[in-house]
Amino acid sequence: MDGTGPKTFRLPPDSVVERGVAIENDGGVVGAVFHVEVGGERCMVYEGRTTAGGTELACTCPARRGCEHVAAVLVHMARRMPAAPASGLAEEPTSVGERSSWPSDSAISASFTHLPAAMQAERDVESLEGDAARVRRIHTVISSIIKALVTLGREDGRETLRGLVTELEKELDGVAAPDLVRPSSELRTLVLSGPADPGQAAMLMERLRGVLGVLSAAAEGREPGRKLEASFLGRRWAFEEARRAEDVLLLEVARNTVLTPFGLRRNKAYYLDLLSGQMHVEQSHEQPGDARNPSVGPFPRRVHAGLMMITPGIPPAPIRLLQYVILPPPGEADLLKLKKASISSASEAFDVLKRTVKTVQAPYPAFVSFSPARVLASGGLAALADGEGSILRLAYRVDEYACRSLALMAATNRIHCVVGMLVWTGHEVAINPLSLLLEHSRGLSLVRLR
Amino acid sequence: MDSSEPQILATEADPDDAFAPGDDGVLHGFYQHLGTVACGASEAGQIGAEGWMRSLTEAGHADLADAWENLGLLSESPEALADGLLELTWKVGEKLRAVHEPARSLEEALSGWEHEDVEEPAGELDEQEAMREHDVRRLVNLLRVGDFVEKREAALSLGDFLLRKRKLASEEHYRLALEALISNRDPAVALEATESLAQLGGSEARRAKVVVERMDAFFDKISDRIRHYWDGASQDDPLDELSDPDLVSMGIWMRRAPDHIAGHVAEYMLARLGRNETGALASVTSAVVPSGDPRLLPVLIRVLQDAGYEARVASIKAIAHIDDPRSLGALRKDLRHATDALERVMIARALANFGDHSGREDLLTRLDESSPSFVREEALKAVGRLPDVEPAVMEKIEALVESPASAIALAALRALSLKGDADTVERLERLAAERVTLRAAANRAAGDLRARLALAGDERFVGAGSDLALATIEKPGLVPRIRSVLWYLLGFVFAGLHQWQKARMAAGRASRINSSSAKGHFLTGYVWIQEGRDDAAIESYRHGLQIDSLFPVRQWGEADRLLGAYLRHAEVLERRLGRRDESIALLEETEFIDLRSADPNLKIEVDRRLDGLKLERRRERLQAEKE
Repeated sequence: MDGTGPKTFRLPPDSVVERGVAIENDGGVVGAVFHVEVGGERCMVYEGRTTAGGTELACTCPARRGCEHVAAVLVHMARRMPAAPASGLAEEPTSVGERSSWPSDSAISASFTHLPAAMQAERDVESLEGDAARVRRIHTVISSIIKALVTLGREDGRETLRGLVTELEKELDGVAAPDLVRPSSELRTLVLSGPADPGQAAMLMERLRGVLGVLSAAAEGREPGRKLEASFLGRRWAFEEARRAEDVLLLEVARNTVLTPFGLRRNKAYYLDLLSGQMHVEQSHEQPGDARNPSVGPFPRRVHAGLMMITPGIPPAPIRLLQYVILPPPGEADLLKLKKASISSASEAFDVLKRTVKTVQAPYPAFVSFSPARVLASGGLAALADGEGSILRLAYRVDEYACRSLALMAATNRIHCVVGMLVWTGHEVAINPLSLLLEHSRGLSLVRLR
Repeated sequence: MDSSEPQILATEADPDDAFAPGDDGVLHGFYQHLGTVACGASEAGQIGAEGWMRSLTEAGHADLADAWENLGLLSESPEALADGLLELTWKVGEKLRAVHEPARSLEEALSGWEHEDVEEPAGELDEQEAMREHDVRRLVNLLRVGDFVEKREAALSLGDFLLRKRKLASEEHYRLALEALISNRDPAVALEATESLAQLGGSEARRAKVVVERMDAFFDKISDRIRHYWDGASQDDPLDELSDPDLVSMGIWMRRAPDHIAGHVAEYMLARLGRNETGALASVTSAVVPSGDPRLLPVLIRVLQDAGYEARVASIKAIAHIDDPRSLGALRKDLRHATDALERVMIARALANFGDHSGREDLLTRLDESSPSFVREEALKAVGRLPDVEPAVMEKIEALVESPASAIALAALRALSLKGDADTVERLERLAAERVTLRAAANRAAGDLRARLALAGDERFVGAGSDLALATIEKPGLVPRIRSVLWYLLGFVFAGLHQWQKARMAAGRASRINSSSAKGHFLTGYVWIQEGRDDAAIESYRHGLQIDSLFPVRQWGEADRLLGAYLRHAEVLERRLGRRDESIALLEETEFIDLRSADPNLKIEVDRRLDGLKLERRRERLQAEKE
């Protein structure tokens, strides 16, 4: 198949198609943006690459491809777009038997945050920068959602809210702006899931307030704050706006590649500058789960960055490694520098969070490395205590399993540092651990939790 | 209820929150209340209600009380109300974050907790306590039949007991503990058992030390190669250059490896994942199955979420060996999404190992005849981990022992060894005596069940030997036995002189004179191997095992030789002759042999090959069905 002709997608087996039809009948395919939800779970169907270089519909669910979500989208497309070549599907979806073809739809490409190079030129929706009309539309939809929530209520206004949230997702589709996308995902959870958690609902309101503030500023042509633009508006940085650093010795202290609730794969690496003690984050944009990420080296890495770009952004300072080599693995002296650079007082940690929240004007996670004096446990729960007896709770509400894992490791190892995100959960300030500096019988070890 | 009082909807109160009373409590309650307002759960009339105004004012938050009152005045205008709510929520959140957390002392935060400091290592074992006979027996039984966590802890505890209590322990207990560690060849516990032995004195310790030193040298070598690879001096990934046995050894010993080796293995897996090399990814994933290394967990979870079928199935097994709450979370999530019957059953089995029975229905329904045999086999292996299995299910399992499919019969025996009672022990012993082909497996199942019942406190089985003597063939008189031994020894001499034909003839003569001895058959098998005839060797081993199924357990090195012959012949059948089904059947046959003394590497290799072949066959069948 050449790159210009109609693209073909192979249908899953009939039994799977039947399940897909059932999902579609239940309204499981929300809009034409390929977000499929089944009983509270949601995933994203997108155009993926086959090993043979062709294209096929792929899904962010664990089945990856050939699943009922893909089938549901195909049926949905057939029903909504009868003029397409495979319009035989439109009349009677249950008789889907032709595993023939379906043209690639621009909506599929709009589902990408990161586009294949060939498609990059076809569209320009990655950033909201300069798209004031779209920014205003997003602002209006979010305001309408909040209004509907307060006046109609979550139960009575469910259908209205569902429609509005879908409209918001359509507007945000393909925009590389995680801090706009994330509240959108949380809104859907709030609208569709079971009993609402009032603390988290209040926290979401705070976040939306921050989002609306940035959008208002952008729509009116004001500067919302350079640090916020990239993550809220998907703005791309010109090289001259960044600082450059040369000959920096970095220790990778945490890596986060988890799947987000939105079905995308995070790709972040956090570094400690071994000389200055500054923390940095190397962040690629979230992208569909099976994106072909190059291998970056065994964790924990020690890296000599010959040339590094430090871009404006929410702390820790975002970086891009332009020229670097991976050095031999870190020794104990390097790992102890992490402990030295860590915060050892809970109050200091809260101050870091307060500064971040003040910058962003919304409850936003702050990256910290905390060195606890003690780890306390009770009935499977653990908490960190500083030397003065103040405690820092673990964010069980955010990632229960990682926190339980920390508690388990603490039972047999000494924990020198907990590297993670300090978050306001709507109930408390807590640390969501990403990695641990442990001391066990064989010495010091930096262990990834995610 | 007085609607003017501050209140949070009952369903939204959070009993887990141990917030200190006072200002923070009011602020927190108010923040939660704003959350309910944001969801529209609060009636419009409550907005601006006086109860909250009074409480906020009393707590020194007059500004918030005013804002709340103003919000009530805005109720007629939805836009203004929404804006006001956002601002007020932000103000309350800001105050909470600013004043609440640092004010909490340790005592306040932990009020109501029975807290303990987990940083200090566990105290010294009470010596008298550790010396007690039943403790040693309990540890030995746990090492045999516990789950993988219990086995690892038992191996370490036995090693500790042997190291510290040598002078105090009775000879019987010392031998019992030592033999348990020596005879344990479970790949998932090999590291703990060998490390424990290596701390001791004596010949067994020397052997274990050699193994440990060999593995350390292996890791040093790999470590250097990995450094060269990442600094660009070498283009070839060191893991690509490893032979299969080395890869398996690395998997078994991974927890002893430095961090950057574990990190490199993770990167290697990610690279294969990125290139869609499912076969290679499945191969390395299945090699790390027994590692139980939490450092590999993030990448294994990613394989489970993103990889192709074979690699996903291997990652389920690997995750099931890692004692970490994250394993449970990943498996639970995957169970919600998985559609493939085998994958669902394997997840349910893995979850059952962690004491989570959410896949129970999946497992029980897959025991039916309508399920494909490989799915049924996995379901049977898992059902033993479920609590409260109904009598009807137990009857079904007992019936499946008679299944013509060897894998099903074996899995049914395993299930019985996990769920049976004292009567089942008798049935298994009878089965071992009557059925030659099932002898080793039934014998092993009976031994496991006795150990399990002893652990459960059944006095009848405490202190009982774990294995049965199963000499069911009548022995000849003394003279023929002596003649048989002489012919056997002669065969041994010929074998030592590499006169294979004469050695075979002498061994055959020994077997014919004393048909109750398996020695001659095993010697014949050895000679056939030396002559490059693995198929004939396997035939001799089969005869020998029918007579004495425990011979490979007693005779050092015999189990490894036997397993090697099976592996080589299976490879010939599959790769040279293209007879995959026969290859699978041959490897499945090894499951009926008591190979507990075999090298864990070889056992893992059998599992890896068997899994690979079965999954390949399954994929082809599914492909054929699709077409």
